Amino acid sequence: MNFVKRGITSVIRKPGKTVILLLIVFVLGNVISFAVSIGQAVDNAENALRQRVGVAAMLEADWQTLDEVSQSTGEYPEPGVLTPETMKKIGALPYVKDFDYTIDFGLQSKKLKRFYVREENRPISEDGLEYYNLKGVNDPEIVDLKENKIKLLPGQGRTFNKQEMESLTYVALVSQKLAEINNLSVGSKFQLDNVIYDYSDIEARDGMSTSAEADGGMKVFASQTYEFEVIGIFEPVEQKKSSGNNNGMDDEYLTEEAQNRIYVPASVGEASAEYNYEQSVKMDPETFKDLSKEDLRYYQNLYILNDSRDIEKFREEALALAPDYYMVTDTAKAFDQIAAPMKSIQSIANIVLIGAAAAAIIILTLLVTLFLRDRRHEIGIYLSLGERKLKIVSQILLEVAAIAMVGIVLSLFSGNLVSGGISKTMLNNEIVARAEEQEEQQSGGSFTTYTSTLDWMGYGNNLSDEDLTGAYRVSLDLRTVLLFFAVGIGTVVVSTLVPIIYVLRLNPKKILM
Amino acid sequence: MSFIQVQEAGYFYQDGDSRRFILNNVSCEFEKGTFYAILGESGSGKTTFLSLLSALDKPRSGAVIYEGQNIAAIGAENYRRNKLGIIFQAYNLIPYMTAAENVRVAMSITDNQLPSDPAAVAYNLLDYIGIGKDKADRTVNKLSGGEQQRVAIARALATNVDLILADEPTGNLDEEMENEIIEIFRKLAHEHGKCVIVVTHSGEIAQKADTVFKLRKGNLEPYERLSEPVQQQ
Ligand SMILES: Nc1ncnc2c1ncn2[C@@H]1O[C@H](COP(=O)(O)OP(=O)(O)OP(=O)(O)O)[C@@H](O)[C@H]1O
Ligand SMILES: [Mg+2]
Repeated sequence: MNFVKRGITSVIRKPGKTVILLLIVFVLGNVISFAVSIGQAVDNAENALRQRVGVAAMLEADWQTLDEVSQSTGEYPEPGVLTPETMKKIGALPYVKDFDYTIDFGLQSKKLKRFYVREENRPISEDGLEYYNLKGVNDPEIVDLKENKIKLLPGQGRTFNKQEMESLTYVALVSQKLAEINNLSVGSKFQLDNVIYDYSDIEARDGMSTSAEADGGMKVFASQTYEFEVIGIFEPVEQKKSSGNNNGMDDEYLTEEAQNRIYVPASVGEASAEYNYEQSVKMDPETFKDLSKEDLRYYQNLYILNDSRDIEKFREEALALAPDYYMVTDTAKAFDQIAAPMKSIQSIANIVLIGAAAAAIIILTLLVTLFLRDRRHEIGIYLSLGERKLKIVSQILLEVAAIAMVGIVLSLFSGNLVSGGISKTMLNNEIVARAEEQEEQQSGGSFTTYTSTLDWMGYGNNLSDEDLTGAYRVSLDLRTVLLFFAVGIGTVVVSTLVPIIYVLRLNPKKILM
Repeated sequence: MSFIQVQEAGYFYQDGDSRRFILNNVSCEFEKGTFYAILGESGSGKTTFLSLLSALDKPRSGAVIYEGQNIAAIGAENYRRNKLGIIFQAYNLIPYMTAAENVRVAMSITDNQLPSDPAAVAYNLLDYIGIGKDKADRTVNKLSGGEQQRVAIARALATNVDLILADEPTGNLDEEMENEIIEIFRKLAHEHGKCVIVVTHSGEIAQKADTVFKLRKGNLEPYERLSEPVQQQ
């Protein structure tokens, strides 16, 4: 009858107490299992979704701060120039998986036809002049391609090679839509014009006018035509929803932006900017005399991080390297927005978990102490027989642990099972509630529609509520099981602390004599 | 050297600020093979004295010496586990265990060398004390008071110790049962060479013990009996 056998005998011969303890552990265990399962499901879904979205970030001038400063000082501060050197330095930060600084510039054409989602989107223009945004990439493999924002159609070309990157070569990647409309395929050629308008007489004209209307009246100062060879055809990967809230209007523009984007080597952009500079100096030496040719290059930077959790560290270190009045915008926010319903479920689960664990500790402490009070006579006998206190404590721990273990294991499965259904419903309710809230805000006019630069670059949110509900799945994975056992066993152990102190303080003389 | 020596043991209960003195520097000696009775009126301190002998409490002054070693040095737990068996007035058995299991609890706790088949030892011991196999496998709350006290005696003997202490062991038993138990104690002392110390009111026990002390006003005095103990054949 060593302490192990004594413990077993006690558990078996006093079924009433065993069942009460088992029931209480089972009930509390269900709540804890429920909460742990939800917490884990959210973590798993978050990891899966984050991995799928990745995180993109960019530095841009912080116009809001600039406005605020100008309003308080009366002077508009000049944001510093983010040079390629700085952008490369930021690209060398350890959080960065991939980056590029592209020279973005515009060219126009009367021959090449732009793609429009709907015919109504096509601006009215007499001469059919169309504008194109070109992206002069420094990474020949194109970050957008690596990040799966665009797909190179199979058998339809390639990315830029070394020679094309190093020496000025007019090669381009165009979208499948643009290629279709314009009958382009790999190897075909198309032309775009770089036109410098003479605006020296524009002040004489009455007010400002849109470029499309102005073209007819505006005098061309100089122009250059580049002939590009198509080396690849890509398809933009659909963005699901822009991070800003809108009524689908921006989504069409985003699609058009992506479909009409043309990728070229950075050197093409530099050459175009240089031509602009030379001609502009000729046209308006007064304005351009203080500027260098670099000042006319407009760089767009883009950083892809390894892990979206690094975003704050990246922000801090990137801003330390960047000139004043810059800010980091990122897609982490978009992710947070879409993940918000899930996060709110998780915080409820966390509160439930803490509450249930605390309640379990209190209830079990009371219950075990009560049971031990009932057994003080028995414990007094062990003490009078000279039993070591460690063994008496072990016996009690063993009894409680054995019963609790059964309750914990049973509740692990049932709590997990129940939480799957309930939390899905909670999540769906939360998604609906949030959508309604947003709608209300919108109709109240307090919610401003906004599309970020990253959206324009094709790095908007590509997650939908369906992705969220799809990724959210309560399962009994190893982490859930381990976490649940850790919490469950921890709770039981803490709950036996007071009873153990009670046992150690018992005096057999007082009990038995 | 005596088996047990009580040296100037003093004891008092602390009651708030006041001390209630129970034992005044009591000194005495106990030997193996002898059946001792300690008489005393209710409240005279008999139980208190036994608690010092059994190391369930410590003397406030003085010492209890077991085979030349202070029991404080042996360690109270160690001493209780390996050197003595104790029988209480209220039996103090574990109610949801059988008689045999109660005996085996003590056997599993002691460090003393015991025969290798504890179940057989427990049954034999109980049988010797008068508890047959059927009763040995009954949970003890289904046994009579006398039977329970026999189980308690068997438990005290099971650890193969030389010192048996008993506090009012027959207090709840009828005369016949009392006599049988007294007989067991005599046999333990005389046939098995144990030192048996019984604390009691009972004149019957005093009559049959080898040596009798009386506890009075904190002192342990030799007790003069009217007649010599009846020698059993
Ligand atoms: N924990 C205690 N605190 C204070 N006084 C106590 C305590 N325990 C016992 N006493 C007192 O000490 C005295 C001796 O008690 P003890 O139990 O040793 O007497 P006893 O001789 O065994 O009596 P009885 O024959 O009734 O069992 C009594 O007067 C009792 O009231
Ligand atoms: Mg007493």
